[in-house]
Amino acid sequence: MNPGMDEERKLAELAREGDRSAFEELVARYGKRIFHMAHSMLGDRAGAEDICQEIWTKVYFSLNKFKGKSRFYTWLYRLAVNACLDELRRRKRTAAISLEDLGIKHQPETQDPNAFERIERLEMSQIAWKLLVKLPADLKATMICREIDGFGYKQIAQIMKCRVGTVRSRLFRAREQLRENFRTYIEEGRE
Amino acid sequence: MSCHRRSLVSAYLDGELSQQETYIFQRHLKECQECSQVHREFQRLGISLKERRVEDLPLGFFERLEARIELEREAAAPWQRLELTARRLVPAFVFLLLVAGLISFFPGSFSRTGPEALAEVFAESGESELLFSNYSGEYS
Repeated sequence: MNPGMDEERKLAELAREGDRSAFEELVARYGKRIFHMAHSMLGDRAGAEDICQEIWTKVYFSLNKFKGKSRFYTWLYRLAVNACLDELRRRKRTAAISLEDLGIKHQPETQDPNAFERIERLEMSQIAWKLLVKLPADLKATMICREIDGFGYKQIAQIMKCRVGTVRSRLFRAREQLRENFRTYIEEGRE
Repeated sequence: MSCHRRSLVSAYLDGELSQQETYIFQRHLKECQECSQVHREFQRLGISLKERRVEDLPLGFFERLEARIELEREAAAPWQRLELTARRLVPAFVFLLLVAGLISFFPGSFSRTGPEALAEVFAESGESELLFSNYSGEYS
């Protein structure tokens, strides 16, 4: 076991025994990344904070269930993704794309197969994120695990409780949909 | 009609193809404009998503979290509160049990007290005379 994992496991053990500073350390270490994931899943900051409060409260009361067989962060992330998926099911958001939904200033484009190349980096980052938020929940969660948090296919399969083949196909579908939606967004901006 | 190998672009991008598949697909990318463009655009989308700034947690997040945990603890059923308290006391309790177990395992060692018992313990090291001289006033 590498030293990082060992330290993580010790912090989790201390937090489980009621050590406040250990629990605070876990929140300090992983809070931002979980918040970023939740914000990407839900699309709104206030909703992301609420769900993160719910996630960390659940973590606190479930620490006795963490057995140390996997990395603490993987266990935490699985709990967090499932909480976000549950929230999305409650909200029953659709994946419809419209310019009104996005509300970003964009440059009008002529019929251009190289739409990707013509968009400035910062604007592309904003557009890509907004389009990601609009994806169906399972595709979105898989994309976030891979592209934002850098998990491998096996880890994603553990987190999402599915097979590696499902991860592979979801990533392909998510990317195809993002790519198509991006082109649609650019085309609809044409004067 | 789209290329039949297009579905491999995503797995190739993620390094999830086998060595042989990777080699074959790399050669394919050099010949197939469609897959090559799809690969570039998938790559660009991924970079764009990664470039989005990771925000800080809202101010006061941990304080609000602590307050929420405390509320939930108070609202928890008595058996749940007991479980939370037990989590903290179990290690101390286990230690006490071990000590009690050791004491009961060696009953002879603790049956006598006073200078005789101490003398027995230190007999091998030759310190018993010194000890008797220290205690003689008290026990004579």
